Amino acid sequence: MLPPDYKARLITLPARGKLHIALLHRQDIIVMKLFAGRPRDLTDIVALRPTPQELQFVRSELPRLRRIDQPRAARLESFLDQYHDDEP
Amino acid sequence: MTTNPEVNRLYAAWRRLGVNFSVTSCTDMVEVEPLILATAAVAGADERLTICAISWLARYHSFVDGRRLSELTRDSAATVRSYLGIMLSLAIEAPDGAGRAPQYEAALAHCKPLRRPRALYDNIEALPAFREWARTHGLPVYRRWGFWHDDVTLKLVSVHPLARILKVPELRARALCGPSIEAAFIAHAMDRITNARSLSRDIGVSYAAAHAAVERLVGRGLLLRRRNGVRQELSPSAFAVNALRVES
Repeated sequence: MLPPDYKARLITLPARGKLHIALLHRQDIIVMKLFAGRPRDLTDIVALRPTPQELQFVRSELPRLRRIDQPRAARLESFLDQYHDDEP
Repeated sequence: MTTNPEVNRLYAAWRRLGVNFSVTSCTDMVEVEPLILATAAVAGADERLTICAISWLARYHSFVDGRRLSELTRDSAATVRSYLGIMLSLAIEAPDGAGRAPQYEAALAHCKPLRRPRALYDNIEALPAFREWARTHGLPVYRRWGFWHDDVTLKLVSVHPLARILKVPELRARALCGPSIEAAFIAHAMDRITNARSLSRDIGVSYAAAHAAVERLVGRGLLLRRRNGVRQELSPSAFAVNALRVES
């Protein structure tokens, strides 16, 4: 469920010997967690405090997410519609 | 770690009993049954704590004193009994659950469903879109206790194997004596000289029950009783010390 271009946003940490670490960008984590919507994901979302721009990015992903799982995408859309009045 | 001190305390206690939380284990002896009730009291606040505790309950139900759990449950608040109901039911009925756990039957008999159904977890309940999802997708095992939730996956991988569990003195005592007041007394008496009244106070049982348990332990050669003036002092026998000592 990650956006197809997530690799372009990976944040690469300096290599330590043979260990290479790449971190997902915040907005990709937020898409993933809001779509999954488990209690632990919502706890993480509260900690991440997404910005309006990041939530707009999540909204832009909705057409793709609807093709993956329509009911979950509808839940996410409903959450985004309510978010400003009812922040987690 | 969370911002809730009570939840953090419970994380440390479960860590001691063998749940692989990334917190420092508490150093004090843990009373299993009060811990289960305390966890039920905050179950809605922390999914990870709840599901890992349920996983422990599924795997190690033989270490739980069903009679004591039942007594504590009977005296608990109605909401706590509802959360305990779903915790014990999941420990038995989840796909990775125990299947059968007679230790929980008496406590379950004291549990009642919530009067007003709600999402199992507070953060889901607080968000209308997610609350509605939980309501429409809630599974029957949760509905039976007045909760809505859509996932019955346990986290057995977060619970340490039996060999490690048996290094915890209070669980080692339960493995040898059965989950009972006797096991709690032996574990408490391991590193101190005590008496029946102190044990009754420390464990939270009546003096009559403490006295009867002490008599059984003395009779079986696990506790030694010495008179010191008018006091009777209790200490573990060499046999008990050898049996309960953990090889490092």
